[in-house]
Amino acid sequence: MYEFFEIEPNVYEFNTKNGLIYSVYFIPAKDLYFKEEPNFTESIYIFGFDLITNTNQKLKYDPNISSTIIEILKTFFKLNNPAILFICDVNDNRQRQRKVAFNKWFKKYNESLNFIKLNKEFYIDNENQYYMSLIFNQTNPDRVKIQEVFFKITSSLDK
Amino acid sequence: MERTIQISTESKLARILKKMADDKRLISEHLKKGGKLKELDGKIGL
Repeated sequence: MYEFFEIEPNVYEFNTKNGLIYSVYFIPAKDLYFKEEPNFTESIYIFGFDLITNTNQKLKYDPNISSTIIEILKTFFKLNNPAILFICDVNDNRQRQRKVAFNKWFKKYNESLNFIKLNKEFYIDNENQYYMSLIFNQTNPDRVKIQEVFFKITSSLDK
Repeated sequence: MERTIQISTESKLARILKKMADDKRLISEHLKKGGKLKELDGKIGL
């Protein structure tokens, strides 16, 4: 695992041994996307991470990247006990590969954690596929409400 | 295996998903330029 730093509130960065910098961020979901949903809780955050170094080098497999991102997630959960909502990046049409990779990480690391991950897949007009997941700790006192909110937004908002 | 849900591009959820994807790209580009996430206040979200 790499050492990581919180460079602004809820934004973390780390450097890899190959000189690459990754950013991991959490942003409040209700204020941004779900203001009109009365039951959407303030404790749900959008989670994302990115390689922010501009590089042409071919990326090599580095297991410390996934373990560091998971460690950042654990830190954020310890501090905030949130639920995190994310979609796989669709901009290069490799969202399915990202979903598979993240699921592998999650399965590997969740053996020692108590996280619950809910998943939904959407096709918009039979064209673009989106993968959305929600992760929360099974000890979260609001877990029932959080699950209800997730199922509500992923079912009733598709009208 | 997760069932894939078909939604219309006109639905509220489709708008949210598309905006989340656009914002993800915007955040990525901004961070790559050395920007701070805070500087995107008012530019991301619906």
